[in-house]
Amino acid sequence: MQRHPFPDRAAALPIAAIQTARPDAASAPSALEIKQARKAVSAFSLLWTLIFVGPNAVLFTIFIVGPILAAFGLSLFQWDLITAPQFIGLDNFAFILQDSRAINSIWRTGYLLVAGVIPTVILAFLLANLINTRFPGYSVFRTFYLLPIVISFVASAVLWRFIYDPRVGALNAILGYFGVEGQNWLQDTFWAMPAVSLVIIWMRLPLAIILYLAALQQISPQQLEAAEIDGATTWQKLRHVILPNVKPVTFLVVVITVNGIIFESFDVIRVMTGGGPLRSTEVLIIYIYEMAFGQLRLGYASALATVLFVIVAALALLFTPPRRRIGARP
Amino acid sequence: MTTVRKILHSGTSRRTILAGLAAIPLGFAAGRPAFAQSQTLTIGILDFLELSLKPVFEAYQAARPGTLIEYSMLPSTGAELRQTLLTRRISGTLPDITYLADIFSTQFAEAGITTDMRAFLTSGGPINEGSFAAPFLGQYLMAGGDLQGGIFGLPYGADTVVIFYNKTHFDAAGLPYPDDTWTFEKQAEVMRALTVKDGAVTTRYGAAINVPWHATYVPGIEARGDTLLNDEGLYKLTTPAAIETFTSLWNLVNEGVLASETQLRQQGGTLGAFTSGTASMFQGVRAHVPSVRAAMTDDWDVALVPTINGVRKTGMGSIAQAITPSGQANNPELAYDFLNWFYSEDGGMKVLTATYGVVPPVTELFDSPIWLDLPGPPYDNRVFSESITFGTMNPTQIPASVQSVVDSQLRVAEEAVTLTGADIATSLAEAEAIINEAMALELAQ
Repeated sequence: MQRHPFPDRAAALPIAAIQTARPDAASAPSALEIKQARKAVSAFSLLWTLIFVGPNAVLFTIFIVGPILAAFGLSLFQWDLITAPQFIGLDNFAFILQDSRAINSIWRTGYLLVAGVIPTVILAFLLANLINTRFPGYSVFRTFYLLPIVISFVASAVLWRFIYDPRVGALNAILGYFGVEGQNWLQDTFWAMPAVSLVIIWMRLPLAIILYLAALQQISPQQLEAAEIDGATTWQKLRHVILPNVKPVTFLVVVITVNGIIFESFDVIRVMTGGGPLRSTEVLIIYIYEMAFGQLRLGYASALATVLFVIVAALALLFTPPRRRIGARP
Repeated sequence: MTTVRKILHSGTSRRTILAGLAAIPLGFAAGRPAFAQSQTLTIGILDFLELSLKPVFEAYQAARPGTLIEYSMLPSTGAELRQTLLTRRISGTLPDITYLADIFSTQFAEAGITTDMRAFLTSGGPINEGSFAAPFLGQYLMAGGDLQGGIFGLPYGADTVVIFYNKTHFDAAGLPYPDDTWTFEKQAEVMRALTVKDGAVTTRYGAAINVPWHATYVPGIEARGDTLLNDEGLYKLTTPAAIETFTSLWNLVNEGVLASETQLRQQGGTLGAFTSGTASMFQGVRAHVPSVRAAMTDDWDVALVPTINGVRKTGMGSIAQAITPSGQANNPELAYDFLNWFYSEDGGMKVLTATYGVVPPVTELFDSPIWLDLPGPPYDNRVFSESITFGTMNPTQIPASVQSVVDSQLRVAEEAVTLTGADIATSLAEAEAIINEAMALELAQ
């Protein structure tokens, strides 16, 4: 049987057209015809690539890359939106090192990341495993855990602000039933950040659970059966079969959660605490907003945003190891 | 047989019908209503004013057939209002008339967002510079710089801070209502009597007062014989008068009888605390009245703020409206006509005051029945106009960017004092240092 020169179906179309056009459709195409067909395929593929990828690339450049580059540039200036921008070089970055409030906001961001990412990853993994067991009523539970996705960040923050109210909030009422004294959660410099972290974990869990659930359902049942036959305990199956298979998803969940916490925490913190009390919840994104729009120091705010970009990029690279080590796409 | 079939079978040709259908737009064009040739006035209003201003705009359109007012919403929070108007200026999309807050009067004038209203005030219309109460117009008068002498806003109302009190709470506690003889000490005593606690947690505060608000501390400092700024324009927060002002209020916060910004964040502010019954009194302005009337189920009224050391001082101010450069260039006659109508007793002021949200800023309307005779609550409306006599304003030379630092630092000072027990004088000294650093930077530019 004559072997098709191009296994790719799309690439085969021009060949098929040549073959059907020729009087003798069974004869092989010439080298020139093959070359022409390859060119046509290449151009054809390129055209479709441009059609599908192009709009996204254009929009990405205009709305993501462009503003990032503009922010880099603005960080070298002093500008208040009213007078003309004044070039000051790296002075804004030098000031960050002396600005105790900026240092505090970076530390607070790190606190929120640790307090938000680790519990999100662990809880999401455990809950996904629980749902995967398809226990009775799991479909109802599945509906409830997806609820935070459909509620806006601001609405969530308002809701939780009410829950945390020391006088009428549900949290202190529930704790009271167990004889535990409730706190003034959002007005306590110690408890405010954990209170905010809990809200962010609650908001990030649904997406993380969905990702883990999809990964768990991709695990080959034969692997698990083989492990059972070999006498593996539940813990051994988890450690030697499940965890290695969901490792790529874990990295993805970490990256997505880090990104979400850094940027989406603005809505929650702004509504719930405004960065207080005593700047105990003033993360970098809140401070950037205050500098940019509260004090109209757009150059300094851009410098802070540049620092934030570097932090996020570093974390993303850290949690996205080379593919050959993972061995599979997430 | 349907109507269409009747027409088609009546001998009328299809060509005639089509010709008739084609002529319909021409018929509309010939006899089109006046609004198709209208003038349009664009106005940017603060978001919380929509309920009050919408009837005003409708009344103006009814009074001026063929004129259309298109309004757009502006955010009422300071930083967002400034950001919105500055970007609209850059993009050339400013409305003909814009609303603004007093702290932005200088900044917006220098940024070219507002124009000098003297052109309007000297245009020969019924409204001129003498029509307005001097302190409220003075907020928008440029005291120095290249724009010295210019007036870059016309006050929307004449707001002064008064006490709103819950009569039901007072009746239940057997306490007499506030009156003109009240002193600050008396108010504190009544706050303690009205406060309800569940263990260590206050479930109802005697009063809700936003201490870091300039309309609270500036009158307090002045009633105690000092000023907020020194001769160089820098803040004085460590003087005896300033320390006593903040101490007298923050001590009440620490006692749990007064709710300030820290406690009110979860209550929806002083207004939310009062209307929900979490506070028996709050200090507010006329602009709060529509919201209180809408939300309050208990009976309530208003009273003058108490005296401090025999001196009565209260905060006052007003948001304003001003013609923008694009309005001055494209639509000055219509803008002038609208403003003249807006401030007239039979025009805008009658409609606006009926919403309960405004004390007319026009002096000849201070005693007008259009607002004084509105059925209560509030019942004692004379309090709002009488307060103007005791009014004092936040110094107009404070730049808006510095005001943001002031608000932020005083909030931090309050949190330090009320949440961690920090020393008041030390907290105020730290706030003063940071504020004056920002002020010096601004003054140096």
